[in-house]
Amino acid sequence: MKVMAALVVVMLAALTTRLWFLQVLASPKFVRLANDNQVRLVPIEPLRGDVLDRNGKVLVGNRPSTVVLVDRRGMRGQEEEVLFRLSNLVHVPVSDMLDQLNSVKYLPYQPVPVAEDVPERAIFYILEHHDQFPGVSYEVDPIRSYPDGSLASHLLGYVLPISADQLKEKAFVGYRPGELVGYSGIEAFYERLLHGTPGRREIQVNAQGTVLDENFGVQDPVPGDNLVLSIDGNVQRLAEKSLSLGIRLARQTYDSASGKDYRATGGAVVVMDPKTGRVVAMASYPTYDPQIFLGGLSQGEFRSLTAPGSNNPLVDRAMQGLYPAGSAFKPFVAAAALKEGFATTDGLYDCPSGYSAPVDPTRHIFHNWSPVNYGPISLPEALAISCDTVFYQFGYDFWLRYHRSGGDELMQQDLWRMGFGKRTGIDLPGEQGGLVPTNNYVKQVYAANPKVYGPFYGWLPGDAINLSIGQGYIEVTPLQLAEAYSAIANGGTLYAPRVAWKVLSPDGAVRQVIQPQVIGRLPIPRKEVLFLRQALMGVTISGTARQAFLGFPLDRIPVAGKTGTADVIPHQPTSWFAALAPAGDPKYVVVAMVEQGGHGATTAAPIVRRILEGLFGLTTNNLRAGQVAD
Amino acid sequence: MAQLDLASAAPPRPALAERSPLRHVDVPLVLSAAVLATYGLLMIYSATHRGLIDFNLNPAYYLKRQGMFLVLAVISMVVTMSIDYRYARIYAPFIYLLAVAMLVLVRTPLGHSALGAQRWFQIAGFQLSPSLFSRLALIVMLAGFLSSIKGEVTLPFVFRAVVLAAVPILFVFIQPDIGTSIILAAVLVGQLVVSGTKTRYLAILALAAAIAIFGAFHLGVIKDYQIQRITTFFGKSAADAQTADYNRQQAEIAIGAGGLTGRGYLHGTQTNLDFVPEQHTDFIFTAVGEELGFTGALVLLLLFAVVLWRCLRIAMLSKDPFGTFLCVGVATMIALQMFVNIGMNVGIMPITGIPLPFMSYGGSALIADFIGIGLVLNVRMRRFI
Repeated sequence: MKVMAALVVVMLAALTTRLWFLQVLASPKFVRLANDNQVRLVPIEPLRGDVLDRNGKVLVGNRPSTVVLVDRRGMRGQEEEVLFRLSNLVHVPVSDMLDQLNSVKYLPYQPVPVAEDVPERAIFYILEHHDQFPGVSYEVDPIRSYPDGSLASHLLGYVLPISADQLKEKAFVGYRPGELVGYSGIEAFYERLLHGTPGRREIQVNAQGTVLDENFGVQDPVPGDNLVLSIDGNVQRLAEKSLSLGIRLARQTYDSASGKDYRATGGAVVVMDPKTGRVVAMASYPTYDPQIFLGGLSQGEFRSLTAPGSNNPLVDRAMQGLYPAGSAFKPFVAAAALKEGFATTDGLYDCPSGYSAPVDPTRHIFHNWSPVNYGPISLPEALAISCDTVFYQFGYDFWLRYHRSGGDELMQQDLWRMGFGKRTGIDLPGEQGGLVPTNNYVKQVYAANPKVYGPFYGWLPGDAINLSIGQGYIEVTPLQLAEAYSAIANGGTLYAPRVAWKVLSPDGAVRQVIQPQVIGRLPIPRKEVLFLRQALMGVTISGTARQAFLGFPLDRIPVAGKTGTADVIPHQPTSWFAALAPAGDPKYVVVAMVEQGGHGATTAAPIVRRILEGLFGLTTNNLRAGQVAD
Repeated sequence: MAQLDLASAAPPRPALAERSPLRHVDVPLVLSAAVLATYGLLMIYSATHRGLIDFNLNPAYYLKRQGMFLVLAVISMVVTMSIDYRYARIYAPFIYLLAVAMLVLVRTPLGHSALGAQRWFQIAGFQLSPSLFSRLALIVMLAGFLSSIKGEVTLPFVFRAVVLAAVPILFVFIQPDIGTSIILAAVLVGQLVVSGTKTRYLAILALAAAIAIFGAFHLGVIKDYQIQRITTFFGKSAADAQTADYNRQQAEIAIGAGGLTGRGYLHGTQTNLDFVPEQHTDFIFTAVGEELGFTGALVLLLLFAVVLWRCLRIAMLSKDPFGTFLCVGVATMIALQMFVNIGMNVGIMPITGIPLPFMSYGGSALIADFIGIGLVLNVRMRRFI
């Protein structure tokens, strides 16, 4: 009997111990599990923030889109028939709908969107024939809208559903599959600000998954912040229009060197406020319509974007395109020459029609663009007529210094300090940093392809001479030139360009002002910077861009500028023009570039002129090519 | 264990009026059993009302039926109490044979079954499971047999007791109702222990049982679906183990979520939203655990402790060995069911189809439990006459 009593006591003790563990020690865990059991979470997407231009005009907003949703639970086993009917009505293939329905993005308690931007009459048809569409519903959701179509599309970027790879990244912690994220441009760079915080609806279910309460708990989403850009929509439109006009004109212009019209495969324009480094307009050609990314790219759309003949419309040539700067580089070589004492503000330099390095045993002749011997000229004159041979001498001087000092790459160091060979740090993703060639770089190029280049003899006079006129290995982006010209315009300060200006909360209050960032100074005194700025006025008055600026009121609005024609063997040359206006106290720096566009003076300069006319309220005319000059 | 010295345990004989059976009804036992049954009614309502509402049915449907069973059970208990338990000793072989006969008959077309579940008789709209009454019959039969042994319980006696128990165990086992066969085996062991059977005989018995179960598996005596059910019992079949795992998880979540004081009566989400399967029957304890917490569970265990204490106490007070064996048998039946049932609810025992005495929904079990209590009360009431 004692055994029985003891057994009973042991049983009760065992049960009590276990209960103590479950209900007292481990209880919080089970409370959580019980709550997870009964509640399913359905996320509510936040409204993405708008992107506005400096005047408050909406560049990217949201518009309502009628979305057709399918709820498998309500289809009463007629899935195939219903989807087939729906497919005919909304013109979405059944296979695409099935992909959506089977996607992991959606919970089983959630109706799945299968078609966006469904026309009203299709919705009416569904409503009128409701018995034919069991489980089909619609709602009006916000989707990205672009009131100006493709305006500033590169700069603004586009949104796509987050990729599987992105989900694993640290930057996207907290994102769920299916959420839209910025893929390029402002949309990507300011993703966190624009995105907002998703809300959630809690749905109570029982063990069978039957929904008991659709609104068990609701946490409202927090809309994303709005972003005001320093971009001026009107200037942007003017820049894009001028660029495409200029490119069209170039394509009708005969190139005597190749015997064909210029191909003008693409181009870019940057308009900056040199006093702050804020970008006023930034255009790239060819462009694309960001709307095609809504709801994902179709095969055809993808092909059209990537076809060889389409010239890579997704590339933002203003900050991702790399080109030799040609003569547009000369002001910075002049600055370096002033810094190292190879040139002075009052010196005179020979401008023959050809130049050969004194140490070159082959006496290879580097030609000026003009066959005329101009005799001794001043530095401003050399810049105005873009005399290559003057700069060849500076290049050679730099080489001699390099050679005698046993490897001091002063020219490169000065150019780096002017912002070349590194990213400007603009608030846009995917910027290219360009390249300033050095002995080491050339060595690598030779080593990588010895069959083409043959033996490597080191950094030669020819390399320095080429670099002195912005030719050879040098690579810059139009944005880098705009940054450097802005420094000439403002007396020497280098700014990291900024596109975004202000962050506004959804109710319109200014949350944050994005400040321009000073990243350096030109390596010469302010006086010499202003000397260069003054010198560049000669380009439009009497120099290479004289023809292009004929009739422009230079007396009222003086324009400092520089043309550039960069050879890119075996292609046609890249056309450049950079302008600072008004030259006495520049408000704008405008840089234009056209790939395979010919001479700077004929193609790029008229584009810049037209933009300046618009900026200063002059009547803008259609483009006329300037004269053929470097 | 030594044989009980019943003569010395009995107090001096009081006056005749004082010896009237009605004066010796064990109030704590009746009360605790009644409170447990009422507790059960409340929890059955909690576990079923929401599901019934969802199907547009009367939320008190199960409550009403169980209430009716409880009335029947109390009547059965009173009837059991009113007849001197010593008659049971005389009629033990008949009761035993009747129970075995019912177990056989239920396998004929007279019996019903569904989905491989245990079999029952359909009588006047109610299901009567003979296996439940086989417990009582075995308790009575073994009590009668063991109390008739004079002197030491030798191996032949043990063997005969085992044979007596083996017959109903086998029939119940192939129904298949593994839970009941375990209880029957436990009753046998409990009564043998109290009878003073030597430990080594009990060891031999355990060994023989193990060999028998092993042999049954390997000789193919047991059918496939039965093996499946048995492996489910041991949690080894993949598909069924999943179901069993789900049951166990949900039961643990429910009980754990209850915490110290519970989520409040009718406020358990696991209970209300049907996450725990079989909650009004085998998993009724989870409703207690979730809604009334550790406190409620402890009260429940305390009530069982009182019932078992009274049963064992009455076993000791019994006038004759037959009464002692009866009480021990009933105590073993209740104790084992309680332990196995709550044990599987809290995840320390495998999941078997054993209901919680007095509390789980089900008429036959409730009636059987109360007849058992009636027997114990009977022993106590007549300890002086």
